[in-house]
Amino acid sequence: MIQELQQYSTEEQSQIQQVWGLFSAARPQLRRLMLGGMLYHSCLPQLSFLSQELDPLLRIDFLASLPTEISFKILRHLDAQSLCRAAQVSTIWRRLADDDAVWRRICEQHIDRKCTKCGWGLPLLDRSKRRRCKEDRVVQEQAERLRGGMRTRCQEMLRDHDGLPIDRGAYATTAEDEQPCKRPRLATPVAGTNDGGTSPATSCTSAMARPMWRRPWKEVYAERAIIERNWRCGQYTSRVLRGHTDGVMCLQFDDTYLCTGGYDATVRVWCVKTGRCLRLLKGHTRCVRALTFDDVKLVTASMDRTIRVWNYRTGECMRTLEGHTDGVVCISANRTLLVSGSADATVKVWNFEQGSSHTLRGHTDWVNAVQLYRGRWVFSGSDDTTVRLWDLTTFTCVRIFRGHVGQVQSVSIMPSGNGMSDEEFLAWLALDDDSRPASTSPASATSTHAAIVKASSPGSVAGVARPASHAHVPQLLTGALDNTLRVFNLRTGECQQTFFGHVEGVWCLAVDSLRVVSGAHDKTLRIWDPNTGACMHALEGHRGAVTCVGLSDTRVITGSDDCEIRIWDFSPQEAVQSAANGFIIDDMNNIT
Amino acid sequence: MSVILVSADNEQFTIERAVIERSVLIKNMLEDIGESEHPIPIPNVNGKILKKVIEYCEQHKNDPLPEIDENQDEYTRVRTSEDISDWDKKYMDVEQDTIFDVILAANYLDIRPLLDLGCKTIANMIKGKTTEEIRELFGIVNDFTPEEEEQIRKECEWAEER
Repeated sequence: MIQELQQYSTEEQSQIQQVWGLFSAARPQLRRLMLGGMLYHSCLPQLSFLSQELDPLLRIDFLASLPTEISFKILRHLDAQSLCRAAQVSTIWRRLADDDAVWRRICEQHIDRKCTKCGWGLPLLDRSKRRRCKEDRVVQEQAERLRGGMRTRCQEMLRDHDGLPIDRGAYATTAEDEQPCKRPRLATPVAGTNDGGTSPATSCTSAMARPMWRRPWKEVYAERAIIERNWRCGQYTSRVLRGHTDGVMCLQFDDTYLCTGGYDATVRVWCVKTGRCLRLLKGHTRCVRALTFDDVKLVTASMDRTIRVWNYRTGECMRTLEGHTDGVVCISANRTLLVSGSADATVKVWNFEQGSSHTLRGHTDWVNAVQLYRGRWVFSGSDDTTVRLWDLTTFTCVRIFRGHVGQVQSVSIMPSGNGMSDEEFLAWLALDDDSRPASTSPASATSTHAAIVKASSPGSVAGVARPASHAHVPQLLTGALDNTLRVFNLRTGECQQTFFGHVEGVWCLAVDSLRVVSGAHDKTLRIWDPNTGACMHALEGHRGAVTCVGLSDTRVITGSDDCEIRIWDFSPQEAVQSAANGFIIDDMNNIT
Repeated sequence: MSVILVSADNEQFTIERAVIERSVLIKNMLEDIGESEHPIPIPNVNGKILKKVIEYCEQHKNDPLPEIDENQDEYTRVRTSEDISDWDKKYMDVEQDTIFDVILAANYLDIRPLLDLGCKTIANMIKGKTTEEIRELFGIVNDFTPEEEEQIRKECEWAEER
């Protein structure tokens, strides 16, 4: 503007500067009046010039100009993509949009849950591993406290555990044992915007309040977002593990170990990371139909009518349980209880602490699936096409779920961890009396059953009306040889939803808070959206029926009649190829 | 009963007490001083904006008061960023400087729903836009060095691949 002014004569320059000076010295009211007068004397081209010049001048850099706390309020309404774009606007915007508290909030809304706003959910990642790290730390801490050692938490955090691509710090509190703690996490006070977001890990280790290293929440979110995308787009790498000499019938895995069993009567323990077979457990004389393991023991069930308990680190068979009068087809266990279902149509409950066992009678054909729930209930699915719910405090059948027209092969509860307490669950379950089996079909111990129902329901109905959050109401998910998966309402026993897609019988399923996976006789593995029941992907690869499946945040592992085990890996560093041209690493193991 | 408010530029507004009690600041003030004929000065807000704010309070005078519980409120607030009523949308369809001043006034007068509305409005302006579009919209100069810009772009790449 000054340059333009210098084109004019000195006299004109001083006149203009005088006008500007007068204007800037005037009170607001006078300024308005002056502007009004100038507008009055302007002709159209000048007004047009004004309008053109005004537009950019009326724009405001809101985030930079508003008080910081209001800027954060604005940013909290943005999704991850918008935040990332905002971070690229300018230095100030970057500082605000990359703020840890803002991202922590986004993480809270999405990780291990479906965001109520956008329907997105992200994996929690490696829960069990962190739990173990945490347990290790506790042990170590105790030892060091005894020794008077004062190692800082920071050092411990930085010490690398197998180079895991996750933050152990950021989710330390949320990785509590069996309960993934969705609600507790929300219940923790939301960090104020300016304190940079108190790390949950800090609160969990309040006893040792020291500064420590923690990954930025944005990075945490980004890593999970990439995994989510891989799941959604079906981008994975697959590996094939060979070793079994006959059909694979059961498997379970964690971050370190994969255990499998099959028709060759053997159990194999594999290293998930390398795909190497670490151990071969022999003892069963017929097909191994089911297995389950935890930190200390592996339990296997076989058509030879026995259940064996192994130390899978040494390969030693510690115990053999006998009792079923026909092959044992399925098991489910926690630290003290073991539940088994058999071809003899019964379910047995073994209590390791008391050394006792009970038999649940009611099914009229093979029991193909059992699922222990909250250590107090058991779901069982049978060739008689029904699923039964048993209360282990009374050893009675309290619900029967009908709907399948084929043999039920698998049962599961979703979501796996929910916010209800046992009391809430009991009360909620008891609210509806219509579907009680007492009238419709005889359970074995009908007399005690009636007594128990009377004793348990009235008080609890009065006590708790409804669970706090309907989003976490558990549902029963089942798969059967009628080619479908079904979702049942636990309270009413009604079938609420049917997942269609498999063209032959469904042998197995697995579920977590974000997805359902199932394997079927049609040789495919299907990935489903648990809310809509829509089949998102059908993965092919096996040359025989898919008989067993396991699911983690980043992997699906399947076993098949074709003697092979497949690892479908959706983690970020590996999933570079699309489903169409996924490569296969054959890993032959010759352990005999 | 009515209350008289005086803006920074000495404009007087007579409003129903129930209406202006949408402002927690004024509500508390009235509770403290009790019944009074004296005009209440609002030194941080000019007449134009005060009028605009009163317009909002009039429209929303029958709304239930917002939740007091901070956490709960924060949470539900985030979930509802899209659902702005038509009236509110139209109310906020003004120049950026007016939105800016309304946000500041709502913050000062402690009218939470209005502050939220302002923040949501700005957030919705940002949503779905590219970085360049955001700069254009708010007249912001890119002050990154090319190296910095490239680094941030790389950091944020994951959010673009959908």
